[in-house]
Amino acid sequence: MNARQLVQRLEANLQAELGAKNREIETLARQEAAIAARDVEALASASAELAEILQRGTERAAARSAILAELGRALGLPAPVRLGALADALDERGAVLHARRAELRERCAVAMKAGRRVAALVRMHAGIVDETLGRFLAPDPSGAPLGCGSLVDAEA
Amino acid sequence: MSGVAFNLGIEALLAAQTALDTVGHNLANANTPGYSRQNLLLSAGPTQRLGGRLVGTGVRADRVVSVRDLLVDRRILTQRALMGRLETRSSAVGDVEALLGEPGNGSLSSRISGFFEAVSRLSANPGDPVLRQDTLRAGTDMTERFRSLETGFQKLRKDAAARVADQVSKVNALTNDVATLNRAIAAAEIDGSQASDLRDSRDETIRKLSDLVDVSIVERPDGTVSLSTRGQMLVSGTRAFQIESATSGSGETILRVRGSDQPLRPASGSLAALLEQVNQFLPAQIQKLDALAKTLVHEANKAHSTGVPSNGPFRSLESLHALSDSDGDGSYNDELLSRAGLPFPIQDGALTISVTDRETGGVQTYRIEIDAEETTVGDFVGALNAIPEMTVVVEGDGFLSLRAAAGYGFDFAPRSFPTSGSLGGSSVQISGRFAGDSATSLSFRPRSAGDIGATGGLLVDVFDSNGDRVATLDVGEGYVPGSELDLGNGLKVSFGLGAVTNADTFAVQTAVDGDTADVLAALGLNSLFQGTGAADFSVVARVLDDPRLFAASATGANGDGGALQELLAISEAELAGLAGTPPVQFVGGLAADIGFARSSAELALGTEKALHDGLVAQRDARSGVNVDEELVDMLRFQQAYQAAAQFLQVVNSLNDELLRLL
Repeated sequence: MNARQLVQRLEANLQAELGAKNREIETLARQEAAIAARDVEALASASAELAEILQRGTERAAARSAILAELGRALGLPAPVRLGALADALDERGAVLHARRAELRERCAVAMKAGRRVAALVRMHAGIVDETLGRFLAPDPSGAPLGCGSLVDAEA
Repeated sequence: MSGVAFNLGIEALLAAQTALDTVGHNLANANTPGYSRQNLLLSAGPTQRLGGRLVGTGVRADRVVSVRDLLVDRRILTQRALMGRLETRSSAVGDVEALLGEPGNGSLSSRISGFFEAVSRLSANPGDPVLRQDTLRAGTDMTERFRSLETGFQKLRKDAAARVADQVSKVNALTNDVATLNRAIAAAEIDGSQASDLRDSRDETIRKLSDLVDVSIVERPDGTVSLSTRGQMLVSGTRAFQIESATSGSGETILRVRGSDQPLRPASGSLAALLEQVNQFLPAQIQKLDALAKTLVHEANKAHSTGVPSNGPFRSLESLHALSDSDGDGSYNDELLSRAGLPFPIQDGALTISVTDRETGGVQTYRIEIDAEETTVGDFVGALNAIPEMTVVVEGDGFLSLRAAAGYGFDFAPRSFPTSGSLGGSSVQISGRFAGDSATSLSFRPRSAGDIGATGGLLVDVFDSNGDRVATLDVGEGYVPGSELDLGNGLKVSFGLGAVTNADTFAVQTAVDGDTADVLAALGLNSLFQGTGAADFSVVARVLDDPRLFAASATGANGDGGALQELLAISEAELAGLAGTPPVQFVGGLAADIGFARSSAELALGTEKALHDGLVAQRDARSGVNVDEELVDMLRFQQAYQAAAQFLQVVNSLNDELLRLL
């Protein structure tokens, strides 16, 4: 595979990454809304969708690393190859990559902010739930085996 | 934009935290009586214009509200008041039933039966001093049981009155609490929010109040409630009106709102039942017991007063009941005998008095007619004093004192009158006690002229008051003058020597009762029992002290137990004072009524409780906390958060990695 073909594949990969990032941001927003609405079903659904996005993202990241490594070797760039250095090395053809890179950085920053906010919400809510459950379902200090009877029922 | 996002996250976090706090609060109060499940009402935050665009500001926790159904809540209150009344009534009637202890050893019916059985045994051998003592002991046992029951009923009434006072204090404390909670609710809800916990506390307080009295509730726009019972205000907003118990002019325990003259009459709740117990149920039982005691005293004394003691006619006798000077003129004589303050009635009739010469045994019988609307005390005493060898005075304190002259005695046995007379030239003597069902007049008429004991075939016909011939006596040749001939129905007649013609007649009035006017029982002369109700019912002390005064004989003859037969007849008699029932049956009816009242109350209580439980289930389905449901929700959140946290960690690491690459 020549360098041109590799650049085309990289551009396609970045385009897919942009689309995935937008979906990720949407999913995070849904998670946040689900937490606010105490809608456990929506939260679980959003989390499952995020898992799927992440799974595909991992696959894309692996493919991207391989493309970048091959292009770096072809263009004589030192490892690890970064997208900015690669675009600079490609001169005119690198303009598209520069544009994709900028878009991706912006989407990535939004996703990271949303992820951090949702993670903070999750941590705080989880803390409240843990505390509440701990208060009611903590082991009976008397050691009675049925001290957590409600939990047994709930699990059943 | 980032500021809006930050605020949105904070609002959402706060809303979710409030929601979870609400869940935790529900869980914590799952077993709190009267707690209503709370829900968080969420609303969208206000929209903001940002950079020419309208941007939402997320979700907000609006307010926490109790989930309740007011109609069901009110019906539960009504049911609780009904149940409170029935529970108290059932318990109170149960106490009376236990006190009565019917049927059973030592019960009233067994003591009454025991007395009459002892009388029956004595009637077979009236002279037996042991049986006489046994009968008096049985009489004492019976009267003691009456007294102990009356004391028990009075104690139950006193206890119930004390409980009324106690519950009045509770009502006042609860209405104060409602007023205090009203104040707190009005203050807390001034911003339009709902003070659910305070409302729950108030509802629970009102529920407790409705166990005691029935309350009507009116909720005001400021969140306070007004409570009233039977139209009288107990709580108005932040002000509570205290109630108090008092005794009415008729002796009833009544309730009223302090400062009001109107009696407060709760229709349900335990206070209503207690008032019913104090003012109606227990007085009714005491009244029945008193009626039974008074009837037994009267009937037994009517039988006993005309009997003759085993030691013979009286030398002296004093009345148990004093006459009263109704018009206050200092004299008893002008009082009508039937209205002279005696505890038992006097009716038209006649009193038979026989004076016995103790030396000769000769008996002279006298009769005093009494007209209930005419005869005065003075007339009666005068008639008694007109009897030779009798002295009768009304003592200063109103008690009547009868004395026979030395060597004489008197009694009130139902002897025929006159007991002696003449038929032509022959003297006639009547003896024995008339045992017929109703009094009658007997007329003796010779069929022909002749000499008693000498003329052959000389017959004397005896006619009753209807003109029917009831006997024919052969008093001619062969008849020994002075010997007794049987007239039937316990009477005997003897004729002395002498000539008779078919124009001669001799009449005698038989008697079945020596005192058809019941004047002896009214005055308490020759009484076996004394008292006018259950509380003072007892055997007359002088009879207990000297059992020979137990007047078993109807004639004074040795071995005669005629008066006992009359006493015994009371056990089977359909007595007017007891609604036409014999004494033991009356007690049985009393016990049956109480048992019926208890079982009715229990049955009604069961029905009302089922209704109440149904309403509570209905309320809990809407307002109650389902612990498992709440916990399952919490667990699902916990799992969801755990999963989300893991993915978010991956998101961050992947984004970090991507940014490093870019």
